[in-house]
Amino acid sequence: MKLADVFSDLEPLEQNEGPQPVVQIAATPQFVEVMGYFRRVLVNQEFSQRALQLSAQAIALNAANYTAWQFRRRCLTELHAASSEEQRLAAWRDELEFCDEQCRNNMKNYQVWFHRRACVEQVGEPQKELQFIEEILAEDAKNYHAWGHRQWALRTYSLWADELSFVERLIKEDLRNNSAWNQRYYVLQHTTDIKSPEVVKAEIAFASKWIEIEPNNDSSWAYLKGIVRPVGYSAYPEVQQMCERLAAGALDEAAGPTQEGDASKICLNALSLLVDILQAQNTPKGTARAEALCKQLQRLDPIRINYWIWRAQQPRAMG
Amino acid sequence: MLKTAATLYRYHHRILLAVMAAGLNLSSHANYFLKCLQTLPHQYTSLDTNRLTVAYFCVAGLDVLGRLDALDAPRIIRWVYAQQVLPTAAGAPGGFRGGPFLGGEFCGRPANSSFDSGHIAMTYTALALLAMLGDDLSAVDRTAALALVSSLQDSSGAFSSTAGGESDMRFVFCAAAICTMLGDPGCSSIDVDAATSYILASQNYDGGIGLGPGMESHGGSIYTAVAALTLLGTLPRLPRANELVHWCIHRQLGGYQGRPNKDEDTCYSFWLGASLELLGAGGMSDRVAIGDFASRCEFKHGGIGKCAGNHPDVLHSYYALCGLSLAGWEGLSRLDARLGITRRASISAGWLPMPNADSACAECDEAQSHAMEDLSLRHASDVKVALEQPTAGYAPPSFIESSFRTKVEYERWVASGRALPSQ
Repeated sequence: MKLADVFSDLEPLEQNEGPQPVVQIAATPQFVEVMGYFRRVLVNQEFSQRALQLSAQAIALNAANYTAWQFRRRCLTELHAASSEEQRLAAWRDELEFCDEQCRNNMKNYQVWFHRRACVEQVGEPQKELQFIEEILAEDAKNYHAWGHRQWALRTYSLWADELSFVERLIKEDLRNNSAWNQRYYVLQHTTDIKSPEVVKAEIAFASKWIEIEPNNDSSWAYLKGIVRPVGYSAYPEVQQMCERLAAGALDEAAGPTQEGDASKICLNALSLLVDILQAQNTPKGTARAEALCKQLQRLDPIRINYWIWRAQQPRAMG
Repeated sequence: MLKTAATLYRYHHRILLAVMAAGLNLSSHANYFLKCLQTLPHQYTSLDTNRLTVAYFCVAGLDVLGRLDALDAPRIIRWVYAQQVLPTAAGAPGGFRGGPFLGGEFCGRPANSSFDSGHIAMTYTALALLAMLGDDLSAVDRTAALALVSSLQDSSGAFSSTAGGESDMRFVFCAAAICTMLGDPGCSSIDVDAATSYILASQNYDGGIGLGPGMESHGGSIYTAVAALTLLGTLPRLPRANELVHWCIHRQLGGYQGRPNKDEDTCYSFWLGASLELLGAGGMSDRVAIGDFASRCEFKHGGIGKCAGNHPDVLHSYYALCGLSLAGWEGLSRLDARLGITRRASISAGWLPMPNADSACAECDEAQSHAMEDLSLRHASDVKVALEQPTAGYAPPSFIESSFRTKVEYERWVASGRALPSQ
């Protein structure tokens, strides 16, 4: 059925561009027709099945149309104000299904993910969300919206049980997946006492394992530092020992120049954390050695030369 | 000998890059922005509800390029005002909608349905547009716009885009910017403590800041957080500012990446460059590398893409130019990093004091330098050392010198060891 027939009782409401439009978008005839009826439906506050379908067409043409999403939530609520619980649930389940497709088509769209939350809140079957997000992450393991939605589902419905093993699997798949490292911290923060010696010990072991496999990985090093810094490096000497060992390539050379091309073999992350650890010791010896390391980093990490100059001058910067 | 040769090689390599970057085709970008301000092809319908934002990127881009003269300002001002939502009753929310997509008359008008409302990000871009174009905002219903902002704050301290829309860090920034722009510099229209708590709660184990508590650190959310704290006057309350500096500076690979282990993207030279500047560490970036990366992302017919080989878009074109401006490249207007517009526009709108004009400005500098001390970022001394290291092959950030009217003034500042009299 043609749109004009479905809405034969309505006059489309035109978009008014004024005498001299700015950033006008050359719209297709279909876009003009759908939006013409949709604007009218909004003004009339028509909450009907045909209006709901129309809003889906508006979303298909522009998923960033925040008004269309807002309309759908209101429309479903109004349509089922007097329905049975069963009918209402069925309608929101359909909406969640609509959302599945929209999330897959518009993985980086804020509105669709926000709408999904509203659907889950209505349907109340959050377990399925974890499975759905897993499918999305299989396509883009660092999708910011998917991770945000996952965190929301985990904390809102306390679905923590299998999350740590899920995260570990993702890190195994790609040890540079920073989103997965962040998620590991998030889970532990909500399910354990993250400053307790047992947790700290276990997480040092976890991060170290991945650092040994790939020493040049900002994600695993940031995680290690994030775990240990709040409780103090001095209580966990194994961290400094690992840094010393992995930085050995650079330390061997003393103050001599590095050959072009050698820099990639040097573990800058180990040197960097060593600077933090030595400066945190707050001893003349530690500070002096940290300063020497900063000098070395100025040469080995030249893009950040100004940063390493500053770190050398500010021994208490990370205090 | 070997050492000298290597240093010389690096130095010459850098100079070559400098020439390349300085050779950015600036006039082609002005044409690109002018073209986008007119008409976009139908593939851009996903921007239909955000047209004010597109206009903002184009006009702001032209402002950074010093080419606002090419615009018919009154025409654009009229169009921006037509998107204003006038309140239906005293005390009701107003603000701006993203474009004329809801129909109705072409003039600022009350909402034509409960779905027609102001959007916080569109309100921010509308005010920025008006200021850049020299309008005095006298036709903005300030009370209604501030009522919109205040109505959108939720119990977490964050703000929603619209009534019933999603809430996160982006809109905290918009709220703080709107308050500043509408002459509410203490942001008394909103709950500053709650907003600040929300931002602080979003700082992660790695020192970075996410879009909300627990979410992964991200260059974009860091900018909105740091700029919001600056505008709210609560930046000194950020507990681990130095760790944040560490996070930001480590995103520079050549251009900046937005998150660890992601690819470089031109827009982050603004998001992270501006964050570093607001944290008092603007001189730390490698400006030559930023110029080199941007020049590789230039499109031959104008515009800059997010990475080499990508089609250009207005967002990346504008933010890439902003990144270059923050890095001190010449030929570009300087930025007010807090508000994402040029200092020129900010000063003419009264959102920044005239530089070195009166004692009020000296007070401003003083406050700024206190903030820096609180963060234990003594920027001035860093720069001094950087200037003394010519063999490293890095030119000092030229904007630092251009902050001063005379060389004597500049030298006096270096000797004083005080923080940079920015903002």
